[in-house]
Amino acid sequence: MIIIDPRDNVATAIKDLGTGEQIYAKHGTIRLLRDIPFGHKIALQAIAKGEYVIKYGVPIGRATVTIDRGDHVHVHNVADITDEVRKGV
Amino acid sequence: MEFMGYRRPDGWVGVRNHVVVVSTVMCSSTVTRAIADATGTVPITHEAGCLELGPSRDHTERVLEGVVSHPNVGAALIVGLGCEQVKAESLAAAARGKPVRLLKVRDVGGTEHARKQGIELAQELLAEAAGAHREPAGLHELTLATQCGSSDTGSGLASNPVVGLLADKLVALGGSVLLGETASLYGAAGFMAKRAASHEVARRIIEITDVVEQYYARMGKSLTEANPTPGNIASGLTTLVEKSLGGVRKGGTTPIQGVVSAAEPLPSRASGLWIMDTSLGLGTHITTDMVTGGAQILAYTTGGGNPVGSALAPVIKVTATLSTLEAMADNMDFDASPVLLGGESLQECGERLFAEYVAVANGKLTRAEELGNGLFAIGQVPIA
Repeated sequence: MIIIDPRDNVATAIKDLGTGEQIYAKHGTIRLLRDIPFGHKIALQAIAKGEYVIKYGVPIGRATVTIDRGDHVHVHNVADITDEVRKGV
Repeated sequence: MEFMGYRRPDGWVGVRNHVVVVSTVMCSSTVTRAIADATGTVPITHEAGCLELGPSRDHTERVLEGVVSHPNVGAALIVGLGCEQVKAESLAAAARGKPVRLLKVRDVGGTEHARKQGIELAQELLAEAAGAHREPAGLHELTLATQCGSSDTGSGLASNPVVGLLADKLVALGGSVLLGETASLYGAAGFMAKRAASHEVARRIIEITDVVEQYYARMGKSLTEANPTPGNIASGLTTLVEKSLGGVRKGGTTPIQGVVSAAEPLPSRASGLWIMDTSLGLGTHITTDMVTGGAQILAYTTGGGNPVGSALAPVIKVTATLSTLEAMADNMDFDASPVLLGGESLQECGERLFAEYVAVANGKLTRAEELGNGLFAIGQVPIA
């Protein structure tokens, strides 16, 4: 998996990962709560409902439910924030 | 740094020496294709050229003038009907000293006569263009266009930053780079505005995305309803902001010098990174805008795999997705997958792409050129 920016709260899987596998980051050892396909995102820490999902060091979306550490982060638990950030944050 | 290119009478340098047959209007397309088929020249046909108003008309004229003036074009035959909005004589003026001929279907007795005369004229032009030879030119004289299609996570993590390194290197050498796809950079406009060289440029970056917002709002729609696409989502992209941030990485990291309209040439002596406010819609419309704006070569990143090139410019297809390298092996030019899978740093991969870019500038054919996949189409510019 890849963490693009130190401020990110998600990592990206660069191969298919399975439930129960562990990944290692400065956030400590993270046990995956679900299968994470290649290219999909993993929560490096718990992201509370309403908080930003951060990738590339900037907000890319907002959690619609509280996302647990090690969970899959995608359209089922993240809302787009284009209208909010298009003109700058 | 130098490469070997074709110096045109106006001083501009090309990386190819095409003879093109250009329709001024859709109505002369059949004759244009017949002439090109018979002579091995490049047909430029489209669905515009008449009954257009305002920004659409201006755009069509810029695109067609951009074909004739393009440095990769050594000579042009312009084929009109005779009553259309786009004037063959005006297009001929865009040749700026290159060999050019005019043919109007109505003036020469209809389709069959036009085809026969056109073949003779195209053969004359082929002979004249054959007199052009490659000579040393500077890489600073090149404009790189950047584009992406069928984006996946590998685009944002590997292919786009690798093209971004090529862009930064070309800018450091004094060249120019175009970043387009207004509807794709939409979600990152605020972040891009922070990189603008002036407040005015920052304002323009936001403004071109305001126009896109208004365009969809008139239909009662938002761009985010269609973007990211189902394919993007399946590959792991969650929001338009995420897709846009990954997409703009292909322009590199240098300050944004300005914003130009679709198919508008950069100001003379311009260099650095520029944003082009390209057409909405299909990739070929955007390719056509950036190439007719003067880019000699386009670097195209693709996740899922896209085979489409340009009628005028080499298109280097870059992917970091192994399954695409296998599924579309004869369409891909550059493998950026070692960045993701190990074996190569981003920097090393960027150097390898730079070497490929220079080889293509010197004449190495891209896959889309070998396969005859050079398309051309005039799109619709968003109107406020």
